[in-house]
Amino acid sequence: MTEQVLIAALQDEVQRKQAFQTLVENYQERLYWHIRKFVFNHEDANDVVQNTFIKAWKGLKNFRADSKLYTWLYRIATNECITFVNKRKKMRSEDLEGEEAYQHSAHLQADDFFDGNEAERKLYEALETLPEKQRAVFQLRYFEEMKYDDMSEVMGTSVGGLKASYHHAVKKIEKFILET
Amino acid sequence: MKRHRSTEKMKPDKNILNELQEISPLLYKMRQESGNPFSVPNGYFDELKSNVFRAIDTGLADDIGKASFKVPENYFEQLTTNIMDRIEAEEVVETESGGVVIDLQTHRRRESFSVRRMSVMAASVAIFLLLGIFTARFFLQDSVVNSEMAISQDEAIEYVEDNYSEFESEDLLALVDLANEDIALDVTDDLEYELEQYLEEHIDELDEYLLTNEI
Repeated sequence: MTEQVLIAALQDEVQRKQAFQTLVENYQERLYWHIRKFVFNHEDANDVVQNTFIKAWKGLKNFRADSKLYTWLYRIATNECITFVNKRKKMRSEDLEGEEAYQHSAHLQADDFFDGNEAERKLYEALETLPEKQRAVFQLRYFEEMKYDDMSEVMGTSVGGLKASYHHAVKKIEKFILET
Repeated sequence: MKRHRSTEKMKPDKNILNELQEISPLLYKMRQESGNPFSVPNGYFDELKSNVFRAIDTGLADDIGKASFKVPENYFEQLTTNIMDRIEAEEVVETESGGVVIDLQTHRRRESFSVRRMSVMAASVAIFLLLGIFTARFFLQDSVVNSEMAISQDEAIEYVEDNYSEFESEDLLALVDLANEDIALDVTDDLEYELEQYLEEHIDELDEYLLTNEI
């Protein structure tokens, strides 16, 4: 099914549900892994990806056919990730009351569903030090290999701004890995 | 536990990899060598689709984004009444040591502080106001006082009002003593009137200050 056909079906009340099933099948893994690399934990990623698709379902009526489904979905998913991470940080800082900020990356090694090496663990630890939006830019480029034009639709930022942000993010991560 | 990894293997974008290599050879190398270190339980993605549609079908999707908190019925109707009742119940009463009674219903104020306390309050305010004035006179020469650089009385008052919280009462008293010895204070009828007006307008702040600080 081409994207145009799928979009048309999504906007038709009769075909909407079936079309949405197709949408979920087509994008669930990609979106899940994008989210998972943000939140690390499988249970959290499961919550966020479900919320993403539910929000997409609710937003179908407002979906403008001039943007791609792909960038639209990634926009919802990325916003959900940022919201989730910020909420989790706030909850953790209230719990810890002045203790060092909780790092989820530090607990990756103990996670049954993570078997990366030390370098990979350091990479995810470095990601946690970035501001959320910059982290999103990095992950979309580094892991998802997203083009800047598409990323501009996802993040709502200019291409020039994204290039600068990505450049700085890479440098920060490199420095973190070399110094730790 | 059986695990499922990402089955997608996208053809690497050469432009994106070249860009990464230019910025950081280290991260470029890591990108080439590492895969996806995360996994999920087997069958997870088959369940995911079902879970999403179950949420949509049962109306759970409608709850996403809604406020998670509820209040008892008629809560907001009762709230105004409850607040006013509490305010009445918590009226400040006259204490044996002297205090300020404020009748919030009619905004009348019954002050029953001693003459001594009244004098102290008046003195404090006078000190605050005069500090601004004689500070300008103390530091400025006569030839300057009447120049364009002279600080007006209003400016001095404004300065004291903005910064009075930083003045230590002992320092102020010391300065007043000094001023009384060396500088003839020109206390005009206007200044007295302004002092009275200032007292009237800032009585609440002074009350609070006196209640929290012992003079």
